[in-house]
Amino acid sequence: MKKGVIEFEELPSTNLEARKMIEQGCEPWTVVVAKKQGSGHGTRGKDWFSPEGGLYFSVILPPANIKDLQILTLLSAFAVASAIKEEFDLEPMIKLPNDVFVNGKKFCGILTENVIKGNDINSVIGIGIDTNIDYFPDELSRIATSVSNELGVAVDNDKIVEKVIENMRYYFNEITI
Amino acid sequence: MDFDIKIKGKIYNIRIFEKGSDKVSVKVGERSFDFDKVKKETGKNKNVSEFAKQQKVQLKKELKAAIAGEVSEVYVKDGDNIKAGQKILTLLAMKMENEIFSETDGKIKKVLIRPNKTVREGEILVIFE
Repeated sequence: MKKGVIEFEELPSTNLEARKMIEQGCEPWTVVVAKKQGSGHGTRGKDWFSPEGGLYFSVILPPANIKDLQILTLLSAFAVASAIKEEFDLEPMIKLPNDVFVNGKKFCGILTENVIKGNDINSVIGIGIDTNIDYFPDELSRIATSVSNELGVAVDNDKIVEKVIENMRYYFNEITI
Repeated sequence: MDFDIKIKGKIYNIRIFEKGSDKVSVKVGERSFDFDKVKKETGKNKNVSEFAKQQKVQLKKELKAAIAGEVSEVYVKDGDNIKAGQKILTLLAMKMENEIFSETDGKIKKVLIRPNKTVREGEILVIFE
């Protein structure tokens, strides 16, 4: 893993860990990765299926205007879709604002959490990508897929994280003043 | 005052300091710009440090929505005494969860929103005493 990427075997939630790190004065663009999550979640606390094999990471962002963060949440979906399209022979589709699908099934979800105290905004973007997941529970099997299921081979999670972060940094620098 | 700003991805260090009794110097990276101090008609001039301090302690009487969205949770009610850092509400906007905390100690005069209410940008959410 690259510098600035902190990897855990298991976390309740990478967003939760990233928020703790912000309170401890962690540097922007630190990336928290877990091999699995005990209570990964999306918006409104909806569960995110997070077994080993998938890719779960949160990015601590530099301070930014809240409207820029709104755009960056959208652009994070593009960052994932671009990374998958560039690395593999797949055609991802973005369902705005923040889900990414391939062949009609969802394989990525994004949750941005902002902690706002007056003008101070600390932000974490959490990204869950179903990369190397072979089986989904019954309630998800018709609507979810994984990159490995689509390709028929396992993929390199480290390489995907690196590419997504590179794309996000590029977009962030483009949109913030 | 000493701070960094970012323009088009590049970080610039800005320093503002007094230079003698009638000049203020603004240093951007390695370049310096000197300005004459302007005397206000009322009262004496404020020095830079006093000005910075005044901005920090200014209390806001209203909490407004920075962006349009939907209130998902409200953690305070009318009449509550709140502490600095206490969570006031969560606002959902474009799949972002915005947790809004109090900047200072104070008292809630009126909560104008409730869970599931959609709010516009700039709408007053909570009034403080």
